[in-house]
Amino acid sequence: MPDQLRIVIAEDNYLVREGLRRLLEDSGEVDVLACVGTATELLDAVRRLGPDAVLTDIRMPPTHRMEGIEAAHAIRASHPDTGVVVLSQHTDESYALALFEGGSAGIGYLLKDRVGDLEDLVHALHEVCSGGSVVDPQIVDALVRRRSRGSASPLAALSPRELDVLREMALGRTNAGIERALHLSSSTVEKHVNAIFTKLGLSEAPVHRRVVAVLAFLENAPGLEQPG
Amino acid sequence: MRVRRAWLLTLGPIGTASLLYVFVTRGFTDPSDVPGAGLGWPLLGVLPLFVFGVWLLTVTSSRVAVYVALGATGSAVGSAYETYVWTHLEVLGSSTFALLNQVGLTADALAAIGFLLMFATFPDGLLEQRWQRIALRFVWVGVFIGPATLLTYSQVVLPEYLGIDGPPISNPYAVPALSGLVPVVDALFGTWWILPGLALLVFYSRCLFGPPARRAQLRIMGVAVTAAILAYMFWEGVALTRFAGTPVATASGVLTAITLAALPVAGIHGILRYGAYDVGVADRGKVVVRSSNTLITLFYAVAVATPGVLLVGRLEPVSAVLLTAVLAVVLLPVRGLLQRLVRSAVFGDRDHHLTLLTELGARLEQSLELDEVLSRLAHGVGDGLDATWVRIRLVGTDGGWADTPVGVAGTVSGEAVAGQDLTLVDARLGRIELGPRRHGDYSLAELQLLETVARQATTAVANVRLNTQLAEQLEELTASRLRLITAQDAERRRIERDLHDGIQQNIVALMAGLRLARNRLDRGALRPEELTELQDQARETLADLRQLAHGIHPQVLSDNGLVAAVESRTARFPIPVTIRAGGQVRQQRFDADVETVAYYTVREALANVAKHSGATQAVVTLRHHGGRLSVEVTDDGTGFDPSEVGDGQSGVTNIRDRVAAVHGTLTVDSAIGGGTRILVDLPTAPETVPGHAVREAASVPVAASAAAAVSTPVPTSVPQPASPSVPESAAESAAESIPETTGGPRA
Repeated sequence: MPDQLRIVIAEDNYLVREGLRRLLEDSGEVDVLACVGTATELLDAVRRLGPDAVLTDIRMPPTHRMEGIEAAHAIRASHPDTGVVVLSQHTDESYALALFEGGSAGIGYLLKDRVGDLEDLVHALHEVCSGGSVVDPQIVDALVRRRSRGSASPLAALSPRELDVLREMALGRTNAGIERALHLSSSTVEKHVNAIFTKLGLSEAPVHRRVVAVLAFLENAPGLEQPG
Repeated sequence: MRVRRAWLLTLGPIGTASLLYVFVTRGFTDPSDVPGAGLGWPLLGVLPLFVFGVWLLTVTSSRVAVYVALGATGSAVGSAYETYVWTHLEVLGSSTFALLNQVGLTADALAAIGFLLMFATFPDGLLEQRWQRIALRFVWVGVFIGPATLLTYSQVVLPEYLGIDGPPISNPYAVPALSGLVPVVDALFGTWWILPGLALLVFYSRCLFGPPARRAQLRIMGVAVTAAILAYMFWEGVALTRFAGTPVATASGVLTAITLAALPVAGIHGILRYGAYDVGVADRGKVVVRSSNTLITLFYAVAVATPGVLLVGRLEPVSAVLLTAVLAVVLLPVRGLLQRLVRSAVFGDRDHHLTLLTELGARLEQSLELDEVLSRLAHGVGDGLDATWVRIRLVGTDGGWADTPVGVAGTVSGEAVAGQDLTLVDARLGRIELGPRRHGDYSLAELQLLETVARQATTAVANVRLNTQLAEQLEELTASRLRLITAQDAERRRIERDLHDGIQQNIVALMAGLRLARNRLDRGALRPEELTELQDQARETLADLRQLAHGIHPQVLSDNGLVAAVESRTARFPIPVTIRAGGQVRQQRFDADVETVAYYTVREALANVAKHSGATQAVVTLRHHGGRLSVEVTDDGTGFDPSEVGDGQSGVTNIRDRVAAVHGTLTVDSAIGGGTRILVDLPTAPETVPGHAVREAASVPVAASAAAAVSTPVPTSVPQPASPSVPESAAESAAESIPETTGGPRA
């Protein structure tokens, strides 16, 4: 296939690394250029190979803390055309927020639970490759729960259905994707999206900016101006 | 304080008997029969002096007490002798009168000597100069005047005050051979002023040239003596010759009487104030107060009774009784006044000193720093004992005097004149040293007081040291607790990492593998070996999980006990480990804390063996004996120098902290090239672990009501459920025949 995704995998655990490689290669949509075990090797591989996307573990030697996130920031800064999907075992949203700190374009945060869902994995790689953002639904759930808990939060004003739609938006889905995912008509989805933007004080924004808007809102305090 | 008991027992009865004889005899004799033999002198002069002297003897060891008591007793015996002679004039003709007369002469001489010495050594019986002491020894020559006249004079020499005129009485005891000595005795006896002159010389030399402090003490007495001498000389030499019969002579006589009366007043004041330093010692306080009250009461009684007694010849008995009664009432306030005066005279500034010393104890209790304790102590002692300087030093760690901390009051100069060790049990903690006293010397009682203070100080110093030790222990305890927490945190982090990076990753890989397998299955390309591989991965993950759980807390320890857990642990140890555990310890279950610490000890010690020692084999020995569980881990490795193992450098510190937490002890024996032996000794008896009894009490079943739980004593010794009470000998033999189990390298 001519438009195969050219990616680099960074993962210190041999079994996981090999498993991911074989799985992605098996999908037929991905060309794994290299598999590395540390962040340093990853940066080196990106420099050498210029992949379309990178799939990296969050914890790697030497400190086993957030090497993956730091590498993601470095790659996004030096290679804006390379998307980064960080695979993490942390359901704690603070890791995701740390990853999206300097902007969310071309970055994805997925839990390792997604490894079994090959389509999601490949979709995320495609998404970041085209400058979009992906956040694992579990993380979005956690963020929304945390944000909506305070009565002062504008999210508290959203209906459950609107929250579902917002969650899908956070995953980077288009209106058509949300229609399919939630089995809704396109007019209903449009109505919900408008209601969400109204309730959150955001007017309608371009599709590829919707996740940015949502994440920016989730990360920061209410009262944020419409990104623009 | 050393009461001058011998003097008291000698002078007391003699004087009392003499005075009783005088009062009884004279009281019942018509005064007109015995000229000059009234009760005036014995009652107003001798009795008060005698009482004062004897009282002084009971309350002070000062030499001045002896002099006063001696003088008064001499006077009393003299009075008795006089009374006897006047009521038995026939003895004058007796052939042994010359011998009897010796009593009078000796009593006279002793009275004179006593009073002379009292004045010369005023106020405390102590002299500053050597020549003064030698000079005053000559005063005692007066004692020999009586015997000397007896042996040399052909006639009996009667005491002057006897006032008996008549033909000389021959002395049958004169030794003719000694008649040549008559002029010598004459010179001594005739020139009576030699001895008083000697005493006056000493007195004035001290008044004028003594140390400043001494001169201050002698000032009043000096003025009184000088005034009395001048007044007397003027009266005798001028007033009675040139102004006889004129008012000048009368005035001079009154002045002389006043100045003479001032002498005993100044004397008593001085003695009480400066001389009898022992008076006022805290533990003697009650005696002093009681005896001084008795003294005042006696004075009071004498003052009340004297006029009546003296006037009994001229007044009706009823009038005499009435007069006495009126005086008793009128003089009552005087008595109270006297009591107050004596109290202030006796205690004076020493009362202040005592208060200082008493407060010292309280002040010491408030001090927390050793420096402060010593400084307060030094100042307290300095103020209390009037020392020029005080220094308190402590014995250092090397056995010599430590440079710090030191307590100093005043400026240390010269050698210490007194001192007292601070001794706790048999160990000398330090020493209090005193420079010379500001005024006079330290009395015996003051030195005894110093002893008491030293005991107090020892306690204070020991307390402060104990406090310091406790603080250090607390610090160590806090550090140890912190280390335990840190170790726990590290352990948690390790477990978290093992979970995240190990097991979780394995499962992620497994998921990826399963997904791949499904894809391949969909394409019909799946081979059975791929599934076997995944199965192996799952098994491996399970094994990892089990091992991790075991690392957190080995279930086998809770379920099957210490020995089983240790054996299970050592079964996968890389070098052969021999377990030695007797049947008893094998069956025994211990407190969970104790088991965990024992297990942890083995684990850490073996980890050290594996990591550092290069040993080829190790031995773990577990014993339970006498309420203690001992865990010993030895290896034949390279060993190390225990003194060079710093905190946190090895698992030893971890073991020590854990062991300390259950009140156990850790011993590490190791030498370079000599292997290592780690011995941990843990108490297993419930009462040795504080809090255990409480736990037991708290676990009383609910059925036992609160009231029952209260009325039942909290069990202090709870038998371990699985603890067969093995006699000591059996335990010994069990320990000897310990079966061995050997763990090998992991297959």
